Amino acid sequence: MSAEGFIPAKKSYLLPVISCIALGEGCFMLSLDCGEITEEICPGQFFSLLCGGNTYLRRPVSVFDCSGGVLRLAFEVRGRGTELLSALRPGDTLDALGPLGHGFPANGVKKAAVIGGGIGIFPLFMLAKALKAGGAEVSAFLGFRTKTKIVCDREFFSVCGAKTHIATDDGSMGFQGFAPLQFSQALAAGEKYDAAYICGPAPMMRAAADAAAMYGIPAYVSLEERMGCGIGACLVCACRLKDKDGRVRTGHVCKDGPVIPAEQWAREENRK
Amino acid sequence: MSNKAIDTRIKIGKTEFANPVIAASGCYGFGREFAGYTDISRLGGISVKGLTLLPRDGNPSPRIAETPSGILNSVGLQNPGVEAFIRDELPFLRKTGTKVIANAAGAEISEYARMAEILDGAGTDALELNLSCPNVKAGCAAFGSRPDTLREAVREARRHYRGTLIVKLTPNVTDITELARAAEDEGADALSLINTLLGMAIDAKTRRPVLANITGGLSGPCVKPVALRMVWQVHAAVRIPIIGMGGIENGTDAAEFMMAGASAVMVGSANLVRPTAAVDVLDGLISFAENAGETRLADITGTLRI
Repeated sequence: MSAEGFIPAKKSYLLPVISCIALGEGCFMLSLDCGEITEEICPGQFFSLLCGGNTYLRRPVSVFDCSGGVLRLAFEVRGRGTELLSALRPGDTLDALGPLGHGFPANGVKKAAVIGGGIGIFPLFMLAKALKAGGAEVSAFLGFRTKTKIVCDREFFSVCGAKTHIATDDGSMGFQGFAPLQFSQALAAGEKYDAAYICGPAPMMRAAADAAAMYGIPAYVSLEERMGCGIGACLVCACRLKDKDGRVRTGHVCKDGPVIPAEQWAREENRK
Repeated sequence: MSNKAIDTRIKIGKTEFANPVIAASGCYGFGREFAGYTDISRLGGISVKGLTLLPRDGNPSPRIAETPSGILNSVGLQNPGVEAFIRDELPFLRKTGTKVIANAAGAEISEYARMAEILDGAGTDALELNLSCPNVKAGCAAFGSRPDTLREAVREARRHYRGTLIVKLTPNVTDITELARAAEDEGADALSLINTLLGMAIDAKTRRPVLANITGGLSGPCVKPVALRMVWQVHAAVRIPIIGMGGIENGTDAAEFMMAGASAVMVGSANLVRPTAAVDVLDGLISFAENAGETRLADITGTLRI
């Protein structure tokens, strides 16, 4: 509180928990009352959450959807923080900083492909909805390791209908192979897209981005790195970005991303 | 609120600060990102991200790991370089009215001299000599952990910098009072401590270090006991003012550091968790002082009862 009446442009919110539903396979969907948030929330953005317990840092979680005053965040339990998040119950409140980061640019796109791998599909849902609402035709290529790992397929079907394509590594459901391969085959079969939006493990994103580049389709990837402040000050979430001349600089996922044009994505030289 | 507002002013070297709460280097960028969340002009000062002569990219990711009650970081002094700071970041900071402390690091002793020269009269309010960052290959912590190299670095900076010179000490030493006395001897106006403790985290599933740099600097509430002890020891060893830091999360923590001997405090890691943390610490410290019947924050310094 300031004696001079300083009004912050941004703040963290204490959002009431509406529900926390298990999606299966260690994934959860948190629904929060976001009536208090006046800032527009864009597909591809994230919130940084205080998990409580014996955790210290916030955890960044992608926005799955935001409509009708309800913010949905989807995540996989990976450690102590996300485990605590999965235990949130109706009536609890969640300290959420956001919306943060750059989302997917969707203006003027008439025919889009969204390509997701595993939990990478989560940020693509709100994007698919927004694209459809803008009059675009949206094809979703969603890849999972195996049939039992499939989550949120019904949500995507409700938006993309017959243009929802499921792929599993082992072929237990849908196309056998990676989502980027299925996307590649669609391109080879003559499908034309104005933009490709890609989110998932780095090798999967690289494959999809290469396929898009081969056909001259503007593509966007969503990066992920361990984060600190989430607002661009502490510099820990470093990623390598390259410009048109091929020069590489150090950017940051929370500030320059998480969504960046695929051609700017430079892999870390000594990454394992 | 009492009838008479508490006097929050403190003096460090030649610089008068409006209050003793300063944002710690590396945790506040150049202030811009926090300006949207909190009134940064209320801070006593901001110590900016560590500057080097030339721009630095820093270490590969991952650069952060959570630890019990804290974090490990291995950013590696990523910064735009001192010239770009003066040109692109300093004007904004000066407009806020808060004191601007330039934190400067070097790979060689000569670089500290050059940095001091460049920053002398450049428009900052103080220079904080970073002799303690554990995340860069050359210089820095190496200089700060030995009295002879620390003396040389401080002497060189003192020769070229006329303003308030603060020496930031590393805790990764056997006896910090030795380094503290050496810095005072060579003309430091004040000391700031502690910088991070050298630490490591392992991912048991992959059997790999979590940080790409393998080791990193530990900070946050988990280091407070070490920091308090060191502030107390240094206070007994030197006469120049001390800026205390290490896991300060609220006003009571800040008061504890002042009782141990600090004239001012720096708030670092807490800002990564709550963007309003530094100003919240100031408000908490004022509350603490009011409840304790103090009329001046400066009166809390050195009041530990042994």
